Amino acid sequence: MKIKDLVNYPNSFKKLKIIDTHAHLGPTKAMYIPGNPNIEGLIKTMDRIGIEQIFIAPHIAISCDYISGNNLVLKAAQKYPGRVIALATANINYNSQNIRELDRCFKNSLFKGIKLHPDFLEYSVKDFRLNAVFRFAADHGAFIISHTDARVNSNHLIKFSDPSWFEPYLQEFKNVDVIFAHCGLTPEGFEESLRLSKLYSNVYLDTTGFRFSDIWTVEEIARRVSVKKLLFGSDMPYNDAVSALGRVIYADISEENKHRILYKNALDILQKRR
Amino acid sequence: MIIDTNVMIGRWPTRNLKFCSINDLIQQMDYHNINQAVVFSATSVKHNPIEGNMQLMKSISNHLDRIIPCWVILPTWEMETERELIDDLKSNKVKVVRVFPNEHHFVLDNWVCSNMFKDLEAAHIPLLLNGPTVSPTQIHSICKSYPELPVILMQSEYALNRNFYMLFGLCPNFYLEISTYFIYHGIEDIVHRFGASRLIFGSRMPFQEPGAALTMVKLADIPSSEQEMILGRNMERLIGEVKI
Repeated sequence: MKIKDLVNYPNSFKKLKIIDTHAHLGPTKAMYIPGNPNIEGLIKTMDRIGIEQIFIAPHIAISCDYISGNNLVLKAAQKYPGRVIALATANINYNSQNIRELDRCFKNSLFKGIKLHPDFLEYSVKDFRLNAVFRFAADHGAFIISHTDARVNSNHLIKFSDPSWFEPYLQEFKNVDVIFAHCGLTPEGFEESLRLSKLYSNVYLDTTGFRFSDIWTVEEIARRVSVKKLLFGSDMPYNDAVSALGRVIYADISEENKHRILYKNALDILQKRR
Repeated sequence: MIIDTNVMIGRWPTRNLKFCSINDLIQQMDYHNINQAVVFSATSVKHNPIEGNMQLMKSISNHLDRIIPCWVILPTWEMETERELIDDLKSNKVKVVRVFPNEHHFVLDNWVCSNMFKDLEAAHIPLLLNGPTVSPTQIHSICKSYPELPVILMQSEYALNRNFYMLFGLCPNFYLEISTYFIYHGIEDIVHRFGASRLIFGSRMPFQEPGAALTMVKLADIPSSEQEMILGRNMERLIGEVKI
């Protein structure tokens, strides 16, 4: 049976192997999240739709208190070893304390990657202090997943995370895999994300941000770059768990490529770190 | 039976979309096993509603078994066409309408739109409102003033969901189309609190891919009978209740 037809048979669907490379944890100020957005709720959702592993940076880490968030995800990863991949959120506004915090986190092997959210934490990717985070990632074998957004922030009328601004880091830190969450969000951001993912072997894109990213399709990325560069991410519980999944499973690409996006590409990134 | 309530055909000025023709739409519907689609015209939005609606009727004429026309209407219809809105809808068998107040520079309030709302209410014609351009307060006002008028909020700004819960509770004639309702367990929670009859399946083709919204319903943790209501039965019922 084809993957797109499995959606009619939820019991078979959940046997698909899926790694979700973009998720959060807990409530948010932005909206009412029904159900249980805590780790028990996420695991239950994962079990129901076949997500084997999930990369998590809690909402509190990217909105307010990065240290509390790092503690929260560590607890989740300890409670569900093998299911939760902990991301340590960096906040360069805290200068040297930020690197000390990353150091504290990475003493625990459950942390595999670093989360950046320049827009919510209001720092620019151009800020020289980010260099120390990339240096840390390079030294500790960590990957980086960053929110990317080529829009002008409505509060400040400036940009924080235009994908093109990552290029100096990509050139300097070729061994650090960087996942561009949301593919830049705008048509210009998407084009830049595509350009950099073609140019640099360590750049990956994720499927999240559908609300804004209706400018691209999985087929387009497959055609213009490679499915090897695309990772499944849901952004749950900020977003629902399955709309991004629908974009992949209904895409007009081979079954093998769907498996690659849903699972194998993320597994390759994780295995580089073992 | 799957009815997609949010589909557009025609050329969009700022983006080369995945398709613009009726034949390409039918192909997409077949690929996704969508039986029928409620379709409006890009020309109606970006150029002129009256010309766009006529263009729509011409382009779908060979596909009336699959396509349900959705006209884009104006509060000044009679003035601009010298015809009665309801007569026009009736003679063209149009049972769903949509408004774009921002594009067409009118205010979606009673002092501008009351005649239009009254006509639609009398005929029970579902009114589709464009989420990004209408406030929860405006929706509340329309639903309360015209309780027999089915009001469907399309491509909602999902982060406004705290307001939607109040609207569901206060307004039995308020419906939500799901193409951009990307709320974690959002469908399950609304079904649990208000029943499956308040949600309408829409894909927002060709801006979005239908797979996303289809999967949201098909993998929702609700009985298949309720999935079927969302995917098509609810819209089928609303269209069946139109009195023209």
